[in-house]
This record gives sequence, C-alpha cells and structure tokens, in this order.
Amino acid sequence: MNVLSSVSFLAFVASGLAVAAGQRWVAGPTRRSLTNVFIGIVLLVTFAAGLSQRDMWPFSSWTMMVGVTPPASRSLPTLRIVGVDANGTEHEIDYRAWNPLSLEELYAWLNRRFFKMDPASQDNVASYLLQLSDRARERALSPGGLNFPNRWLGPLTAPTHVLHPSIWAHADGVPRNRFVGLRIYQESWDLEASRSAPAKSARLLAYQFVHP
Amino acid sequence: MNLPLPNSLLQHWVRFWYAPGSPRNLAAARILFASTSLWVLVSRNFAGISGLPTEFWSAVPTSASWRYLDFAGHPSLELALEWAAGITLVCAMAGVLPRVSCFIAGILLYHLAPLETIIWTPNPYARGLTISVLALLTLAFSPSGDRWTLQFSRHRRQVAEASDYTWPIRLIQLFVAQIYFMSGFAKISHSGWRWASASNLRNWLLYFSEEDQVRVFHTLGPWLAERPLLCQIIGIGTLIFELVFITVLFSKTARRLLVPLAVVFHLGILLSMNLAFLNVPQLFVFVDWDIVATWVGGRGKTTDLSGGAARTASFTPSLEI
Repeated sequence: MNVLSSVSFLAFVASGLAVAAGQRWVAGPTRRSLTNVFIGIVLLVTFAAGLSQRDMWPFSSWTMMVGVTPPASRSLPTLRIVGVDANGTEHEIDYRAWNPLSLEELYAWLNRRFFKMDPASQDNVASYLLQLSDRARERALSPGGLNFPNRWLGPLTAPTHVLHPSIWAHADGVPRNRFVGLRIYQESWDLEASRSAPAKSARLLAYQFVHP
Repeated sequence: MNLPLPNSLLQHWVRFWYAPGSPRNLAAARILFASTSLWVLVSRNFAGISGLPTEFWSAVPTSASWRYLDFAGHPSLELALEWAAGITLVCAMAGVLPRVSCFIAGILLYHLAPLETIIWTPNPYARGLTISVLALLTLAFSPSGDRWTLQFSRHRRQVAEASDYTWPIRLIQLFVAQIYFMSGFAKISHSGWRWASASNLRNWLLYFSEEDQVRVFHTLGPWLAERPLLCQIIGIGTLIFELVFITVLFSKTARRLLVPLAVVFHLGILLSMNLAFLNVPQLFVFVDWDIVATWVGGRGKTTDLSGGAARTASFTPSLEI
C-alpha cells in the first residue's frame, strides 16, 4: 500500500507540474488537455482511496468513527498511564507531558506495539516516558507552568483530534513528589452504569516500571 | 486529451471545471490554506518525533519511511524543515513567490505531517494537514498568485484565462466535500445502516462523556444520550448530511444550506463528544470572495480584473454561498 500510495502522490505532483509548465509554454488546447489529465488523476485516486476504504494519504479514506459501539465498553479497553511516587501513591498525568507525542498517538502505539515488545525494550520506553512525565511535573510546579506544545500560542495551540483536559493547569493539582515509576492500566466500564459505579468497572495492570 | 464522452457530458465537464472564475477566490484559498496549515504546523512537534528513542520506530515499515522520507534520529534536520515549511507558508500567505512557496510548503508538509503518527500508522488523516497538502500543491499548479500578493512579486504575473481560476477552486472544494462523503460512505461500508441507530449514537456520546481523559465538555453529550429520539435523529441526520454534502459542488442552494450546517455539525461534535476537526476554517473555500469584496467595498460591481478577462462579480454566481 505504501508503494501504491507513493506512486499515486508522484502522479499527482508530476501531472500538476505539467499543468503549471503548460500555463507558461503550451498553447490553449494542449494546456486544457494537461489540466484534464490532472483532474482525471485526482478524481481517480481520491475516489479510489475513499470507495475502496484503503487510505493512501494524503488521499484519505476518511474512516472516522465508523464502528458500532457495544453497550459496555469492556471489549474496548482504554489505556491509562499513571505516575507513581516514592510512597507508592499513583498520580494522573497531564496529556501535555507526553510532548512530542500526543496522548492518542501514544496510546495507539502502546496498544499496537508496546505490549508485543521484549521486556528490555519495554523498560527503555518506560524509562523515557518516566523522564518526560516527571520533567513535565516539575515544569507544572514552576511559576511558568506546563507549556502547551506551542508555548507562544498557549491555549490557542491547535488541539489534537481528541480533546483532553489540562489537569495540571494549576500548581495545586500537580503532584509534589518525584515520580519513581509508571503503571499502565487497561480500563473498561459499563457505559450504562457510568464510571462512577466501581462494580461495573474493570482495571487491569498491564505493565509496571520502577526506576532502578 | 480527447475525452470519448457524449457531448452533453463534455459540456457539463467544461462548465463545471472551466467556467469563468475569479483570481480573488484562488488568492483567498491560498491565504486560507496557508494560514490554517501554519496554525497546525506550529502547534505540533514533528521534529521531536524523529528524536524519539529507537524503540518507538522499531516497527515502522521501511516502505513507510521511504514513502515520506521520514527516518528516526534526525530531530535537527526535521526542525530545520519545520522552519522552512513555516517560512514558505508565511510567504504563501503574504504572496511572496506565492506559487513556489505553496509548492515547497506542500511538499514539506507531505514529509512532516506523517511524523505525527508514523510510529503506529503511516496515514495521519484527521490531524489537520491532509487536505492542506493537496490544496497547497493544487494552488502551486494554478495561477493562485494573480491577486493579493506583495507588490514586488507581481512583476512576473502571468496572464491567465478566466477559466484557469475555476478548476483549482473546484478541486479544492472537492477535497473538502470528499471528507464528508467518504466519511459517510465509510460508516455504511464498515457498519451498515446500524451505525445510525439510536443506541449506537447514545453509546458514542456516553463513551466520550464518561472517559475522563477526554472529558473537556461534559454537559451536552449526556443530555443528548438521555433522549433516544434525538440520538436517532442525529444518527440518521449525520449519515444523510455526510452523503449529500458533495452536492455543494453542484448546487448553490446546497452550499447555502450545507456549508453553515457543517459548522454547526462540528460544533455539536466538539461540545458533545470532545472531538475537534481542524478543517472547519477551510469551509471558507466555498465563499465567493468577489461578492465579499463588493460588499466590503460598497460597490455594485467588481472591476479588479485579471489578464484582460473583463468580468464582474456576477460572472461567478455558482461559487457564492
């Protein structure tokens, strides 16, 4: 699919450049023909990607929210990474801590790759994530606070597709103690009962890391 | 190209793609897509992804890396390319070598945007730059620099035919309209008409309202979820809206109705499901900027014409909302 997508994009660019060149050096009818070829390629590739539901980015299939959600989300476990301090207390982590990763890309990668990796690689990744989260915690406690991905735009930074609350927006909500470990949970709950009903929620410790 | 088409179809083709158009609309599209792309570009840390520990990149297929020339371990180079993309986008907005700037920016964004997701998928759609890459390149291939450019870059302005201003705008409008059409098609293709059921919509609304890691707005979602009839209407309405949105390309009435409705649609999704769609500002590509300029200028007719193609604002009624 990567090869086909590359060829499609190259065809798009090459035919577009031919159109641009034609505007300068070619007479009317030929110019129109070049434009028709370009339009034809665009129509072919964009509709092929969409109607076959095979993404050939930037010719996208736009497969968004296409599933039927089960009444209880137990089959759709949601991940959660928490920081652990020296007392063993768990703390929620602000989504901005994972910069350069966004939370959804990080969770998607964890689900797809992380749990299949060997323990040494998992620990390397976890060590990096621990550093990111603890550095963010320190910044959140500092007078400047935790930055958005673009510090100059601040809250006007373009959000990711899925919004996330800034739980470390105020210093009083930020853990004081250094993180010494991370835990990754897989959570699910009964949508009808909502998350406030512990009996209908399930939480599985999928991975744990403690700084050596 | 001699198309083996019946005459009537050929006429429709020519009328659709090559009706006399406005250089102003093309210039507005250039500014619109360059500015929205710049907003997304400066809001992401693409260079940082390149600098992630190698474990993150371990499962990236070689073909995906070569497809975009995205490789691990080059954060400084990627940062330089981010700056280059930013500068070319500013140039495209300001009209400094606009077509060249659009081309370089489009190619650089094609390289940079996939960095956001490449560690788990090579297809970064719905992250804000998908349509921008296609639109910026289309603008580079068309006379998008014939209006609203800085004076010093105008001296090389080419004389374009009025029809040269229409097909690029139509293509960009098609890219935007395809988002909705393909999205509706994908829902039916994957889940069938069950997708529109009240229970499915209710569960989606509950999921995004109850999951505290994505819960920014949490009033509208549960309120809607408690009303099965509304959920049913939203489910069916969403599918119909997405599938018919493509008619905005052909019908002025559809444009007047569906483009504003799209804004309401995305606002509703934002407030009820906490999902942001960064392409919303790009719906302005359906506005006829000649008419806006006429309103702003308080004049009856537009006389700011290009290439000797004398025309008035009324020559492009099909583009107005």
